[in-house]
Amino acid sequence: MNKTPLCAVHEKLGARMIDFSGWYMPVQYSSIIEEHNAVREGAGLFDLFHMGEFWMTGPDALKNVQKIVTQDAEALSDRQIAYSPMCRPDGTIVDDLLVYRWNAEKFLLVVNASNIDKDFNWMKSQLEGDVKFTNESAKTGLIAIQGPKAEAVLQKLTRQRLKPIKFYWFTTGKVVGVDCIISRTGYTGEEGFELYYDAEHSETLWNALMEAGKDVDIKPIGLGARDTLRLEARLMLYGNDIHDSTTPIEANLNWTVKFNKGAFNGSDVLKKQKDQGVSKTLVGFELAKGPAARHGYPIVKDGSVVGEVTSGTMAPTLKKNIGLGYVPPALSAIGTVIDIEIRGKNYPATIIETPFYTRARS
Amino acid sequence: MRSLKEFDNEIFEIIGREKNRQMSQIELIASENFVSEAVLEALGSVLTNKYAEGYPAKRYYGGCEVVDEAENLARDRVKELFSAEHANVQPHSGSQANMAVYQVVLKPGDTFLGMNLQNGGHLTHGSPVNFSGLLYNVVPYGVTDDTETLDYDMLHKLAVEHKAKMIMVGASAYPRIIDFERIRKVCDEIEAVMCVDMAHIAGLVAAGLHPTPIPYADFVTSTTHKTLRGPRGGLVLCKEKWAKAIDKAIFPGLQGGPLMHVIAAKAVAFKEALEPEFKTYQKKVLENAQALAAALVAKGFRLVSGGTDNHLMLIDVRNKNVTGKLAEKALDHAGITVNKNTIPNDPQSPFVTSGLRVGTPAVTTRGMTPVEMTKIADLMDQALSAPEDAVNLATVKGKVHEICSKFPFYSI
Repeated sequence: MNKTPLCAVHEKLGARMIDFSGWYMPVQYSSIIEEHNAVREGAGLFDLFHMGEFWMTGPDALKNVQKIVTQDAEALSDRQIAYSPMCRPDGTIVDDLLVYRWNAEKFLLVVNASNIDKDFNWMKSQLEGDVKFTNESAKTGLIAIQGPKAEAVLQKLTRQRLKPIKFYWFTTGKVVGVDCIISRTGYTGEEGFELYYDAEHSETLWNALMEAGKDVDIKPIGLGARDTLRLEARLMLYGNDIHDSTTPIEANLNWTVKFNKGAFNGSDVLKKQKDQGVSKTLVGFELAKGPAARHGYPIVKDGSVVGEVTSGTMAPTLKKNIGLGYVPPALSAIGTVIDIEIRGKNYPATIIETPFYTRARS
Repeated sequence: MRSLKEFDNEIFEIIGREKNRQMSQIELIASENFVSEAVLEALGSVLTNKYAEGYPAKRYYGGCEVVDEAENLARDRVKELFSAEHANVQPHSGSQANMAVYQVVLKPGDTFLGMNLQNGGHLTHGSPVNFSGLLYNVVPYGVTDDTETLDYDMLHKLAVEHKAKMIMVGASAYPRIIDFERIRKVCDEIEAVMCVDMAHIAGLVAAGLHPTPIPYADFVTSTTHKTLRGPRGGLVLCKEKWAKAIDKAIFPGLQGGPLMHVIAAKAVAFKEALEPEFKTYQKKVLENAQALAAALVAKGFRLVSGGTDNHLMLIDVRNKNVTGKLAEKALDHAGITVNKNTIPNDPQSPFVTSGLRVGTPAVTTRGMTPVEMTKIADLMDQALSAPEDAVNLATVKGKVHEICSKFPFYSI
């Protein structure tokens, strides 16, 4: 199993460690609800070393990124970031990633840990022209600090002023002397930052952030709370909500697909889906009562199975059972009542607006 | 293509001679420094060819995508260096940086407070012969007669009395720490905008060795070539709320195309300033200033305000029976470069003066230490003891060369 440079630190913090797609990772330190609330109300720290970081550089970098992702990287300003699916020519999603634009000849692409090899090989097979493509995942550390107090905590450790960094923009700067890419991004639906750095400085950075966050009772956050946080914010989990046989149109990620940028991998199929409709669409639901829905549970309407739950949880902030799942478009209207089959018994659920949780913006 | 040497040997030789002069003299001009070869390399690059009116991603010329990155780096780095919310790295000089701030804050005829040039202020802080004094109604403040330090009470009184719209803080010949917080309170009281020109002390501020004006000032302007040790140029830092206005004032308000080679060189200098070695350097600048001040006092020189807190000091040369003008000339002949400077209540005209301004940034860059500072004070004293005696000055010059030869700097 792969280990993060912070493995010993997690164990010392009393984390329960699990195998997460080949990575020995902390799933929880105290309790999922406690960790979840720390991020919603204060600050939480995530070790995301397992995520993949690829660099695309050279005169044809922009051209290649444009072909590979569905977002428009040309419309991005330098120092701006886009969340984007990466599709095959048939429109299915290879992965969803963050595209960091330095300039037209330099991009950082951040991919899911479970897909590093698949993505790297896929992208490599797609490359055209004068471009250099490297996988720097093994030596790139990634720590996220999330929560309404995250900025105040991080600001203590860097001279770079964080306030002017807009959502989905980045800058560079030293954090306790460690050179970092500092981006206002995250996977929690909360305010916060992600720091990329040379992985050998992991402990320095982690310990300094924990120390600086003491007064706001900062907590290390495991994969358990990471999942409840992201689901409340309706952020996709690759492997569940989107996967090798779903498309961004089906996943209701239309806003990430920019048809007017010209042809790209999957553009024909996706355009057709957008114009002519899809057979399934990803919706959010809440259960009035009963247990929490889980990945793989059937969605039932009038006694027959019409779809499948992709993610479900008891949402700690909303204090109700929520979930995502695919249903036929005819059943996707807000307010539609469906059933979720949980261990052989049907429980009524209502399709509701997503994201389930939106932070109050100051 | 023909090299400079082949095509224009006159200029080639001038550059060579100037390098020799810089290396063979003791450079005590407080506003000068020696940039690294990395900075020189960026300055002498093809970036000088590029027109890039506008700002990164919002240019009025095509083909700016590469220089955009240089400007983005420069901005990111200087914002980090000073913990500033917004930075503009395009001003060609400190004067233009100040002019841009005035253009944002003032209308012609509006009143602002600036430090008197005779008391250590800068030309652009309201001198009657400068645009700042010609366009605006300037109320000068200065230092007290007894301590020769900033007269905060007078500043307060004048600001209230004249309902100043802006207070310009900062100096070009003031050896003491400025209390930015105290001036901020005055600004708050009369709702004036506070601008700090930190050109002289920027390197010390960057290293955390002088209190930073950033939290207090609405605008902070600076040059990039003094203690900050970058290429000749300017910059403005400000709060986010002023960002759009200041950018507009610099371009298209005051300037056209930015000097992209200079901006690249600024980026290099900011990177250097973010390294731990830079703090060590600035510490040495201060140590050398203390050593030089102590050695000068030991030789009977009187220092304005009795000493220094920063990188420079003002010498009152009256008790050595010379004027500033004569002292500057004599030291120049002896291989020590300084500039004459008015001192508070100077009986002499600004062309003659009774003072010298000396600073340690450049000699410290060469690696000189407190040992050399003591020697330099001795040599200054010796030169000024017979300032018109050619033999005396030549003797001193010989000793200056001896010191300089031990501190080579440039390899190119």
